[in-house]
Amino acid sequence: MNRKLLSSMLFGFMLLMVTSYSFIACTSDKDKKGNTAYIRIPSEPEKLNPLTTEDANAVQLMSNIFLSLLDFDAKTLELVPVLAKSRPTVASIDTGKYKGGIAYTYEIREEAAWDNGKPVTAADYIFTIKAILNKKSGANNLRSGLDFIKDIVVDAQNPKKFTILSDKKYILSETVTGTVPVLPEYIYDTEGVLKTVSINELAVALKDTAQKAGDNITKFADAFQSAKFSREKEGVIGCGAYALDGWVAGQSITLKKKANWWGDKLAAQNPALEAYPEQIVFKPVKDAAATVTMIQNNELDATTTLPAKDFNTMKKDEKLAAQYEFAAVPALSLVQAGFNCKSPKLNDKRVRRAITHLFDVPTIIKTLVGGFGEVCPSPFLPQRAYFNKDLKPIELNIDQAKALLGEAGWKDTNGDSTVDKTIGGKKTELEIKYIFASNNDAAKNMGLMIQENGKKVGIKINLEPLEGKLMLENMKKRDFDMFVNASGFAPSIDDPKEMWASSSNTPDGGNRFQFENKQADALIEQIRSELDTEKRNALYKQLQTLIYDEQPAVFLFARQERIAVSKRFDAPIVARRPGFVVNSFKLK
Amino acid sequence: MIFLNKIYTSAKWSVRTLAFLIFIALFGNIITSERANALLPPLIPYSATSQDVKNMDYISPFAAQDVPSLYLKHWLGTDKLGRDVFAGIVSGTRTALLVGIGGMGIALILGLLMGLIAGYYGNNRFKLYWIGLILRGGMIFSFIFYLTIFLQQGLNPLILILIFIGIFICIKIGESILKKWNPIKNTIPIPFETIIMRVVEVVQAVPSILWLLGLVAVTGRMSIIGLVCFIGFTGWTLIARLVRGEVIRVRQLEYVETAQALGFSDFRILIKHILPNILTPVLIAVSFGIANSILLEAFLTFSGLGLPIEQVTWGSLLNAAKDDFQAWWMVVFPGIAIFITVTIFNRIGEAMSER
Amino acid sequence: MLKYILQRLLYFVPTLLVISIIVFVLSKMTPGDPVDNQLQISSESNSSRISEEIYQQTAHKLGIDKPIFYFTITSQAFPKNLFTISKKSERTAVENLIKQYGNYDKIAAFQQANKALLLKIPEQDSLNLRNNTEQLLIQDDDEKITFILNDLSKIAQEKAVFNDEIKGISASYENIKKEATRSKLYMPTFYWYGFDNQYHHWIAGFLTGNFGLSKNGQTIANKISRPLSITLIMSLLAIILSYFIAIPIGIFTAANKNKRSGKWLMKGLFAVYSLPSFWVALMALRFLTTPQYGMKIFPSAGLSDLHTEDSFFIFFFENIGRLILPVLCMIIHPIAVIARQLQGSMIDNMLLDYTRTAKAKGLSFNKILKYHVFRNALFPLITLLGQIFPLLITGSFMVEYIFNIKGMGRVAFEAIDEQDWNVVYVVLMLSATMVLIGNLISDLLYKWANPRVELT
Repeated sequence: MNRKLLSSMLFGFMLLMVTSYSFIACTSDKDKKGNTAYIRIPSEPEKLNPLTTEDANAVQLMSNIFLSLLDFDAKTLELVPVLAKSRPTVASIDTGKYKGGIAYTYEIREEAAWDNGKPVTAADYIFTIKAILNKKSGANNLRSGLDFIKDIVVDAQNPKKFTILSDKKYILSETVTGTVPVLPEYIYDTEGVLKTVSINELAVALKDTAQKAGDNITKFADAFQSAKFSREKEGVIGCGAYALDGWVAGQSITLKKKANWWGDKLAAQNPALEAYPEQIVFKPVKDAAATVTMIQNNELDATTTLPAKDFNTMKKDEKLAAQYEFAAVPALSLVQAGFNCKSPKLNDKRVRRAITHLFDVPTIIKTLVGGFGEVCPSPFLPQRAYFNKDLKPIELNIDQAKALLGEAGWKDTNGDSTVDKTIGGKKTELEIKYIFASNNDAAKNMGLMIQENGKKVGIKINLEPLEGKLMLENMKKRDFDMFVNASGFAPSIDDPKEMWASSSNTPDGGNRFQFENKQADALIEQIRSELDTEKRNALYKQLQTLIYDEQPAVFLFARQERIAVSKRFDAPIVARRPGFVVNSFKLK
Repeated sequence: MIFLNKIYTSAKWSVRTLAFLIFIALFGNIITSERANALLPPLIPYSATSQDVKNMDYISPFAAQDVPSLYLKHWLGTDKLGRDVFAGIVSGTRTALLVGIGGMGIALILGLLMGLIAGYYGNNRFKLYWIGLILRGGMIFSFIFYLTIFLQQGLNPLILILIFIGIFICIKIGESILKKWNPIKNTIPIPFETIIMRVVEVVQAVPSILWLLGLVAVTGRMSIIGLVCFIGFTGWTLIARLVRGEVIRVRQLEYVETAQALGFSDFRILIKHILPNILTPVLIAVSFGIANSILLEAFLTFSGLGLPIEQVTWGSLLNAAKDDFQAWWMVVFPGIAIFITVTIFNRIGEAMSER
Repeated sequence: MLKYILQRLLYFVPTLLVISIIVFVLSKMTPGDPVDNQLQISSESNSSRISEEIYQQTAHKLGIDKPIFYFTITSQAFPKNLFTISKKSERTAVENLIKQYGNYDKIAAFQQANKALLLKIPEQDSLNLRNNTEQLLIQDDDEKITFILNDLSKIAQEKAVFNDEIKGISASYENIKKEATRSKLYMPTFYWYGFDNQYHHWIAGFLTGNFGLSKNGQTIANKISRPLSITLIMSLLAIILSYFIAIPIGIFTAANKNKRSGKWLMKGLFAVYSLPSFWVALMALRFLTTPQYGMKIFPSAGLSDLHTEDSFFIFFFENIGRLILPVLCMIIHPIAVIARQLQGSMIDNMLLDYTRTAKAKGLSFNKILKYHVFRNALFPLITLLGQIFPLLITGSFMVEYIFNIKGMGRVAFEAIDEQDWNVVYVVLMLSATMVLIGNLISDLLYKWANPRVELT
């Protein structure tokens, strides 16, 4: 029985393997040639709603479906017209209700049209703004940037021309009004619900608006957030060159080029309107190793976030280098370790500086991110025009750290090899609670490194990895001494208020450093309303020096993204995230 | 004593290796140290957490290392931060044994108890009187209530357990005194099998990550004791099922029926006649479970729900291999350590169930 | 027999209800603010500023402004209406203060005083009163509260604003500490909330087939149908293959227990078991699916591009080849366990009395194995089968993740991670049903393997 059973089972197993292997043979990887671009995205978007979705991958994908009046040029990061004929004409308002404010006049291109042949008009833009200002529609982030809009006036003769009125000067007005994706009113609001409500009514709190308007607002918001307008091809429609064609969860999102698209005629003059691939397939692949094997199998045309080690080995591989262009581009993101400046242990800037001296930034960059980072001692990106180059990176210096601690009055009086000081009549040991998101490997390793360095100067650093939601709770309660995160930046200039003004230091605000400085507050207010670039840049530099001196955070480095783009296409590597522009992939 | 002696003679090498592992677990700090101590230089001149800045970013054991002498060489390579893998394995032995043996020990005791009761008593072999049932129910309820309060307040639950064991002994003594009194007549059958198997199903059906989040929500922070208890709590169900499966097979065998007919006490039948016949699958499950708990510990620590992140364990070394697939030494050497553990516990289990 | 099965099926109902209650209550205990989660605010966002109005609206929409369950058994220190504090951070702070001092009325007065001050602080707050007051509402640590109170009174004295209010707050905090009633914490109490509670609304919808929507607006059926079909295929293959491979190995090693071949085969299985499955999968992916190392034996990671409209059969035949390697990675650990269990249990049974009797009767070794040993040795394997049965629903997260397959393992893991509870509930109730079915099947198989077994 033994042998018979064994042999029959082995036979069955062999049979199974053989049949399955024949399947493998017949499903060998198809050649993916033709004018279709296969783009890997590291995570699958949940929704494709241009106003509520903030996920970077979704934004990249949606930029092919929706267009805005202006957009950042991929190479120069300057604002260039897309749907608009040109950048807006700017006029200051000297009289009337909005005195002291600014008026921006845009005109939409004559050619611009929706899929039904109707032109894109000011009415569509106004609809989009209303959809954002509707407090129930979920566009919370866009809304907080657009609340300066007081009214929009359409030109009497030209339905494509309109003026946006605001009552104050704000550096980002042009950027935020121009880069809002314009939605077709006839698709997203078939019944014209939002026509009945004015911008003013939407701007005030909901309970104050009339009952009828309130009902309409809710009705629109519920429909707007439904699956139809975030996942289905009947609902996700814009005036861009591509239309959503299919979405297989976990596998692919396919965009198809529209036949006779209006922008084709203009593509020669305006690179933002180029649309070469017939089809774009976005493939969500989370695991980096799987991505690498797909690159090695030549299944992808472009990808971001390659692991550093694999990036370097693949770059050296001749066969792969012939197929792909490998490049490292700025990721527009800064890694920082923030302090809790109000904590009794850390309210002395010498202590903060001492801790900063524990960070060996060049080694951190070399080992933890594979060398793909740029030292950046400032709260702004190194590629900004107003980046202050005079700020010297703070280096690993154990002796200096010891000296600073001594100056600040921290000494090891009880011989437990941790320095201490009497604060408010109580002996306090210098123990630092260092929190980070548990999936952030670099923060973990960085913590382990400064923990070892901290032992040398008598600072005890306790590492606490926290699950993302717990991390947010801790940050709101300011229940930390240091936290590590990476802050992302838009291509536009920075508005420092949310991160550095003392008014943003509330549990829900963005100033998690508890950084409160009267001088900085004044500078920030000046920067926000200074429309002259030269003067503003000088102010920015001043602010950087101030923050550098105060050291509310350890500014570590600017991350670099590692990308690969197939040489099948004529595809330039650009400065804008993610480093390539899919619509200008030209088949060789 | 005879029992232990039998195990030793039958699985000599495994017992010796286990003793060696325990030795390492106890004296790991002396074996691995940066500083030379008074008696003799440490075997490994690195502590598990010390970072060798010159040999960072995964140096293979065979690659050229920037070390001054052969004594200071990293014999099993280094990890991303230049920490010595050998030192990590040595100092991780303690956690591995604590988590593995402790966690699976709890699982074994709980699983054996529940499985034996469920399998042996079935649904109607155990009977109890009314008041006794109410007393026991009330005791279990108040135990759970005060356990949550104790955990919330950060008090030691051991005191609580001792108090309740005391109460239970009092009830038992009272019962033995009143035995001949009429109301204490065992008339209500307790459906142990149904109750225990449903509890097993409930514990299994709720994913362990949810149990863990609930536990953390009550206690606030995870400690190694909490981790061991958690592994025991999620591990006992399989053992209980295996035990019950074996018991219902053995229950109908002739010698058990004979023993029952001879009027032996239930306890004696369970321990002397049933237990030796069902140990094999249980002990195999435990020895595999030890390996699993070592990996589970690593996963939990990795998600911020386990031990302090700076502590090097076998699992944390394995986890690092996700980072760089070419760093085979981060997997192979801890893997060998786990292999040894699994093999010796398998062998010892085999020896224990031999008759 | 039929009666037994029916009886067991009847037990499914209360068991599933208990599981649903536990899952629901545990899900409410997970960290994070459900409103923040719904509005996709994370620790990476620059700020989490949303107006009180939107917070309340979202909380109402999510139904979290109701009590969780029909009743609660808690200590007397906790009030009945704690759930009416809808902001999670504030509620947690109050709960933690109660756990420390046990006097809810004093704590409520303290919170009231804070809120009153907050309303009076002007919009343009140049003195940073707002942060301190808002922090007081969510802090529960004595040291921190004292620190903030000191800070506030310093501001009040220096600028001579809100002096009375801030003094009032300090006094009410002192009250909490002075008049602590910790003994209340040890007295149990029972509160009844009635039917208008979160669990009732959820289970009522669930039982009528209204599972709610996923966080991204999809219906649950839509979200899990394809992952479920992939996982069913993979897990079925995995279960069948692992038993197919492990059983012969188990028999072989049991028969050759003292020979070198049997010993080394078992040691080899242990060695494979000692390597983490994620690493084995990673190695298989790296070395066996690309031409890089000259061993492209298997197709690459992921599934073929297909359209949503394609039928299940096309999908199956297109992808079966791509599933082989992931399935092999899934089964390497189970094989070791199953084979070892079978070996151990066969050796055990070979030594039993009836086997010896059979041997004495002169039956051949093979016959003894087949009729006496094998069936009885199947018991642990049957238990294990019941154990891995839920795999049909849950899949294997690690393998799916590495091979880029969107199966149930990833759906479930990601849903728990993102706290997309409507998805989690459905997946968990499905897998719970599988646990029960698996248990029932293993009980029936015991009876099949040895008809003398009594099932009660």
